[in-house]
Amino acid sequence: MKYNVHIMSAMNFEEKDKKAEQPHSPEDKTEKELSLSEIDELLKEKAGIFDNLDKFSKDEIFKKEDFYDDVERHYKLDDKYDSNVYAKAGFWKKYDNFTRLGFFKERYGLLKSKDRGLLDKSKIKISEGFLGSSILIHNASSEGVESGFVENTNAIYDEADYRHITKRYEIVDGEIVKIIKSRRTESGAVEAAGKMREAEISRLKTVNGAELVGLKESMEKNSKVRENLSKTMEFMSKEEKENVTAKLNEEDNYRREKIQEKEYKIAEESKIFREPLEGRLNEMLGVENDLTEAFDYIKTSESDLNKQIKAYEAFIKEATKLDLLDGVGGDVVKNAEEAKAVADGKIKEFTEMKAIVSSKLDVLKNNRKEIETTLNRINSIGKTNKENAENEKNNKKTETKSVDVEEEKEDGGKNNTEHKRGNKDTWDEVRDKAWGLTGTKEKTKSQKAGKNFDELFPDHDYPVREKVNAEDKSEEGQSKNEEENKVEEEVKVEKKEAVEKTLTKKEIEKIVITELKVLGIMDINDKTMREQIIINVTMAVETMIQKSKDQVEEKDIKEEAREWYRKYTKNISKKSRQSKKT
Amino acid sequence: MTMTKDTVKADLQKLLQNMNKANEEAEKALQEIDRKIAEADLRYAKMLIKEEIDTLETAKQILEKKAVG
Repeated sequence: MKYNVHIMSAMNFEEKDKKAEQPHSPEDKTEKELSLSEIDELLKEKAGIFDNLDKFSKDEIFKKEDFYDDVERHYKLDDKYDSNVYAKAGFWKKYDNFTRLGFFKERYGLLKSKDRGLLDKSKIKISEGFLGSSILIHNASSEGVESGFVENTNAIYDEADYRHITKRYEIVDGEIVKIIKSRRTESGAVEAAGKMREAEISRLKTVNGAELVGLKESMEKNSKVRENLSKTMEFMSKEEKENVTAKLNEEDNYRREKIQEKEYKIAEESKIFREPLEGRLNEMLGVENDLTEAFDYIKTSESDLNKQIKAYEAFIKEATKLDLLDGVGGDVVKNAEEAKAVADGKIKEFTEMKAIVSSKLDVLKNNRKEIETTLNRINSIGKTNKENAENEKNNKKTETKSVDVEEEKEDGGKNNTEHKRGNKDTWDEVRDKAWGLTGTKEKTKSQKAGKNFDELFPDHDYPVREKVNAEDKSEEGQSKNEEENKVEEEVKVEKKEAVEKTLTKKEIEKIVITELKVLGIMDINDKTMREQIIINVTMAVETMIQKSKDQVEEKDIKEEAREWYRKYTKNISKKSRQSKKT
Repeated sequence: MTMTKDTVKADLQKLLQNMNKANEEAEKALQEIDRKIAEADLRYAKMLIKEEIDTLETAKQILEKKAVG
């Protein structure tokens, strides 16, 4: 029986292949060259593919039409790479060269080539000064272009196909120039966009994040100063004490406000990375969950069938021992044997299915790790070392211990770790094999592409494998599983708590608005201003909830709303009062 | 219960029935698993494309933000 497991992949990537043939924008890995129009075009294409898989609203994504953003560069010719383009030297040039005993070639625009003899650097092979629309088409890295275009095509094709490059020669203002046109391929452009995102995360971390960390640290310092001052203050007069306390409080308030502002800003700015990643993580968990269920289903079905086979085998063994099978009609025995053969075949298919599902789960788990790492990076922006250490501690709690699991005895297990023993496959290759994408040109480049699987994920495992082994484990194995179960239980409890603390957007909004009304937001005459404050405060509260590790209660929301309201009405309320007077 | 020629025949026929039934169920299960895998494949493929869309959209937003700033 042939299953349709990879139908989708073929459907999907057949289309992508077509697109891969189209040239794309320049690859210089700088954001300057990755233009908006270029991105729009790529988005359009990708959403088109996505549409074929599922209806996906894309109208909002594309607003610009001009996406052909070729980059054309003119280069001086290079004797090493461009000698082929020169015409052979004519008689008089050769004669001149001879009379000068072969010296001064460079001065007189001559070049001695190995294959074609003396060349005239002032002339190109075709008199019209044009050598076809593109005499060479390569895929090459930008380095190849900058260093004079590498002519070794094998080396070029070995490189990742990030860009399409065409080269031609022309005479421009009496001088021969090499004109190189370059466009990123689809995968090259996505890769560059990914790099831009990484750069932006780093920027956010080093600029805004560092500033926030500085503020938090100075806040901590201030509280230490306050502690040290308490003794000194014993000798101060009441007035002096009040002055010092007021000053310290003022500083604290200022910093607190600044910290909140920065946190809000960072949360806002990192939204563009965080939200898609969180969405993807959820989807990833969903697929992982479905496949884990599928794996369990296979196990149960396999086990049910195995029971029948074993019962049959035991019966036959016993009947043969007692020499009782001869008395049974031949057809019944024959039919039973055939049924047993069919069942054996089904068991084999179950094993294959397990191997397929396991490798997919393996890939998913590593995808998830990648996303989680990036999310952790984003979430650590603006966090002090202390806060990061605390987060790490919390994260460790949720991580299940990676256990060195023995190779599974069954075939599925062998297949699951095929890539591990081979130790040659890159991450992309492992993924493509597992998901039936092998042979497709277009694939998402992992940031870590190029390294082999084990280098990338030395401790990789997958949940299913642990479950499978749990049945046959020794006591030691079982105790390990118990430990893991305990950790998993803790995680479940934490997750449950997290769910409990989740309030709906509407509920949050309601609490905020009620609190703002108590604070007197209705006294502000300007309706737009009022609405804006409500929006801003609600957003700030949502950010706080999102960041909070503890359970968020109504009073926390109110407190947060009060703080932001004060901040926003500091200046606004004056205007409002003025407008009331007028 | 002791085995006799008569009971062997009857039991074997019963076993055959059970086995055939189990095979049918296994076939159904395999088809169901196949469907589940195909479904997961589809979701994964969408995820890959969505990932690229997200990356491009993020890059676009960064560029737009810089253009404004």
